Amino acid sequence: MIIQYIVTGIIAVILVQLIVRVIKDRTQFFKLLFWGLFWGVSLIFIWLPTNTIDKLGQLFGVGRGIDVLVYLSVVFLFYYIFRQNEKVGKLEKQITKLVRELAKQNAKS
Amino acid sequence: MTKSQTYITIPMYNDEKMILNVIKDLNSAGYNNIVVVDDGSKDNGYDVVKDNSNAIVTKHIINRGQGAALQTGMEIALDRGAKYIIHFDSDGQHDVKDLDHMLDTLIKGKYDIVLGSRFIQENKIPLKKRIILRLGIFFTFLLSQIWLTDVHNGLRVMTAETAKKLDLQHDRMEHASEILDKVKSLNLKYKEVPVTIHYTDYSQAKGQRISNSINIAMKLISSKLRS
Repeated sequence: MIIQYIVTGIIAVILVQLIVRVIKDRTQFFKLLFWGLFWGVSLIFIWLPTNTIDKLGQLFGVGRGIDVLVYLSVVFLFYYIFRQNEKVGKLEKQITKLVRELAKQNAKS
Repeated sequence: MTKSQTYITIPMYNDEKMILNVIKDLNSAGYNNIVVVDDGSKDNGYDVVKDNSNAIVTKHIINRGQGAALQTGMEIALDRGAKYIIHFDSDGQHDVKDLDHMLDTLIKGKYDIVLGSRFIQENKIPLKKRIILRLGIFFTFLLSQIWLTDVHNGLRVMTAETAKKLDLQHDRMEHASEILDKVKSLNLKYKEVPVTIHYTDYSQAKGQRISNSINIAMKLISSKLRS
């Protein structure tokens, strides 16, 4: 199917960018390992025969295997957004604290 | 005596044209302890206040929102020994004439906080604003179980103890609802008094948009769910 080639192309571009970044900055090696694994597993799923993935779907009680992957992705994304929001909220509070301390020190009468 | 122990906290954002008039009016009414917190304005409001008034002035180096600026102002006022704290807007909407009565009500009635309300007496409030504010009243009741006639009025008078307890955590416009939420949850003794709001073209242009009201509501719901 064409979609498999398109997605594989996109993943290849992402992986190349990641590798280039790690070559420039070796400290990001762990990032390459994590995302390399993530996209690698994704590639396996993309190229697995349809009936193999469907067996996975039946295992979860969902008709098609691809549906299981979509559901899991949505759950993961929601969780990820929630965590990011929490992080941003904490950062905002810290920034305000810093800005306030500076303002208090520089108050002029 | 009371006025010398009272600090007016004014959060300011891009109000260089109005702020000196506001300070002048406050001074004429005998309020000389004024803390202006410039919240990362793009204009020269900070310098204008510093060079032309007797107010204590400071600056947030980046914009953090009205709630954050009020909290900074209150902390400065508390550090300088304030006994009473007043929240006052920098755009000329509030009327200095209301302050004596509010302060008097606070002290004589032994209230923790006195809140200004534009709905108790006749105020010419634009229809769009009236609808948003009425919805805000209902929304605040749902969230905090406190029924007031005006929930987003920035004119407030409180004791130093109350200011310490409030400790505003919401940096942006949600602070107005946060204050009411804390009035209820901390069981503070409060009273609403009628105040005059001057709706000028200037203040209207700076006012809140409907889209922002939705944004405020979403943030409040989200913070309620987390607390």
